[in-house]
Amino acid sequence: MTAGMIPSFGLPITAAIIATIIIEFIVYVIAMRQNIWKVLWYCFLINLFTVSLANLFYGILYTETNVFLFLIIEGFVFLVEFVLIMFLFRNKWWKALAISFVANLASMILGVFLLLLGIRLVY
Amino acid sequence: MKKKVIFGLFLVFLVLPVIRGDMAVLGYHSVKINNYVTNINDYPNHVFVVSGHGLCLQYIGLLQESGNVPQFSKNCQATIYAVEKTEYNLHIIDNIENETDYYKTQTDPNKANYSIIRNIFESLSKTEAIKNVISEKQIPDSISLEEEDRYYSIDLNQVKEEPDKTDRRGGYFKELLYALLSSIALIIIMIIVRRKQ
Repeated sequence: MTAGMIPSFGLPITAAIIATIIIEFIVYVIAMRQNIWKVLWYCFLINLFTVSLANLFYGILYTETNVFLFLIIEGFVFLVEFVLIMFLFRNKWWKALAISFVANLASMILGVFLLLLGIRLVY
Repeated sequence: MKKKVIFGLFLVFLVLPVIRGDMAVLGYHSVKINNYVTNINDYPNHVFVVSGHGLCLQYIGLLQESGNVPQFSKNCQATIYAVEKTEYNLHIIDNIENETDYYKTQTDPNKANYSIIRNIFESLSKTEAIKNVISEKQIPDSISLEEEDRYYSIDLNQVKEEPDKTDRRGGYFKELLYALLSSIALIIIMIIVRRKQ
């Protein structure tokens, strides 16, 4: 339930990518301490790829009965981001894994928060 | 204070697009489903009765001669029953004869009083032909689908639970957009990674 999947909660993909980038960018900057513009550019590319792909798969594979699909896709996003962070930022695998985990956890918390807030506004 | 206002505005910007009327689940949209029975003419001695049940307004109606299943309220699941015409006519006449003059004129179950029709329906000898028919479903907003046509063929020797054919309407714009965006991002990422090596 990361911000990466916000479109599934009613937000357009642009808002979802922006929200995810902001949250994950903060995590990347704190964890990597590299050139801020380079981090922002890579963060944008990573999330453009994973958010789009996650929504594509969610749309194609969605059935009313498959309750685990969301978790499977989230796991997939986490692993893809781990690989991309490792190659783009040239981080050690364990550091890339930790950053991907924390970044996705942070965006998940945002996603849940927006979902709860959204429900209150709708009803 | 300023930070709170900015944070609040940011959240409003993000959440505003989700506020839509008549939306059952946040992030999902309703898709109308049109159901058709394709071979109703193969059973000239039967009428087909559609009974909607579930968390909805209960519904009983006749399947139209064209095979179009009447629209029933959302959250309803319908079952289509086959009733022999002789059985159907007998019960309708018997029951209506016992009712007031008003109901004598209401020989069409689609128009008659629901409780009378329910009683008639319950007393009919009927066979389940198709079940789990729905007229609306919720799907994630990331899917382009807007409307769906489902086609069933009746075989009185078995109860159908799935349509024989499904046609979707609404195109694939969102799916193509996601594929395009992810492809562009991947190409740029690959170029960057190659240059670094």
